[in-house]
Amino acid sequence: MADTLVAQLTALATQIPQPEADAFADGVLRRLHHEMRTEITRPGRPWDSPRRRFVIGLVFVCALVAATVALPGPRHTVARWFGLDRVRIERVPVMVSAPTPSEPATSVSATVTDRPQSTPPTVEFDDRFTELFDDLGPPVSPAVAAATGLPLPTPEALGAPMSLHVPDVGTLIEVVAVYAASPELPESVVPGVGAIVSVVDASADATMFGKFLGPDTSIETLEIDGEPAIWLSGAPHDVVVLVDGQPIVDTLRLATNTLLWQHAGRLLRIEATISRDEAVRLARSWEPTSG
Amino acid sequence: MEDPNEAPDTELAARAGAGDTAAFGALVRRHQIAAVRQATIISGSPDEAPDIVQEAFVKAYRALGSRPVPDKVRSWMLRIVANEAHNSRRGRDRRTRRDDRYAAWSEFDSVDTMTAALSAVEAGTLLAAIGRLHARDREVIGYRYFAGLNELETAAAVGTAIGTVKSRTARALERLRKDLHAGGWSHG
Repeated sequence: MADTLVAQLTALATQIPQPEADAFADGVLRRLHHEMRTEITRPGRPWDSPRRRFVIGLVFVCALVAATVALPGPRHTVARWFGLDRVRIERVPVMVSAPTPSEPATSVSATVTDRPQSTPPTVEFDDRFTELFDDLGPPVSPAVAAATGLPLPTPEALGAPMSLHVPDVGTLIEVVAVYAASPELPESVVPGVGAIVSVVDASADATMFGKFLGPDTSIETLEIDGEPAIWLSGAPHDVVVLVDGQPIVDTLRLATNTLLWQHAGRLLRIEATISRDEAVRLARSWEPTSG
Repeated sequence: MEDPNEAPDTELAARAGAGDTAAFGALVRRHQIAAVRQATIISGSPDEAPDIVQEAFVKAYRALGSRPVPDKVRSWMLRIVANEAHNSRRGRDRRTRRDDRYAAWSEFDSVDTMTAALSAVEAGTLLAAIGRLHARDREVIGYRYFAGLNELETAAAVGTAIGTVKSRTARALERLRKDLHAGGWSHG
């Protein structure tokens, strides 16, 4: 059946509606010419594109300067943070499409108790997880996740995750752990999910994380065990991953309170509707040993 | 200067990077059909696919001015299209169920049932099943069978090894086959 199915797929390809060839190409060129003319009159805005609000946030050079000035806390810490890792923070007037958290972040003060590592929660991966897994990829075994060479993003204090993922986002290597909602981890905008913890190689060259903050998101710079961290709380924010210069807006993750910690050459990200202190406690329980 | 329509992709890309929009226009004409197909498969929206491709091609032109010419221009352009299509899908109303979007394809107006290999109903069924695939499966199916890339080109587009493309394609086809059988697909 494989050959037949392939034949059907290739036949189907011919049935996809196509714009008229010359008119389409002319449209692309007209737009290029228009934008080139616009840039002549508005130099310094090479990524201006009103049809993509999130692209506004890609003026990272400006963002770096603005964020460094705007952020509270010791400036040398901020500068070091932005100088070393792959995270950029920018405040934008309107969020792209961030969902609303299930609870106001500032009202939550959860306490996560230590839980055994050996017994992951029994969760049925039903339709609730379709969209999440569409972005994260299917659950993988710990061995597959460890094969990335990255440490598993599983802070000891969080216990066992309900699933591990290795999202396919081009050159970025990332491992993600999804934790089930519980009395200690309030349910997020993704039903059944209480927290998402991820790790990337903070020295990766090809990819850059951005965190776009709306006007109601608060940001706080921290040091955890002498290494830089950022705590984002309040209104939802978007995560942007740049792959080959192309922005991928990652709105499917929890977009709730987030702790970013650059630790041992890795970037740990904890997203959960918990307090800052609790997030720091969870982060400290993470052992970034490879695999 | 050589006729753009005769020049290889790499030469056109180099000329485009130097500001030759006519050369880039030749690249657009050469790859737009594959690009629209890929954008449609990934985004689930034949209506939005041309806009997605236009946006992607504009970004490609900009990128050519600031980077070396890619070894495999077609793969590189289609990867930008794929990224743009993923963005478009994510940015759409998140409450819209994916299945609903792909199911709407059964209403293709442009399908010529006299010459097409599949009827409109069959096309809709197959497209809906593709829409239920994981994004990575859908992407590799799109590269291989809709955009028409070979395994080497697909590997370049995905940024992985050919062996991975082979296995990923096989798994995607198997999942698609199972889904179609579960739905009572009796063709093939």
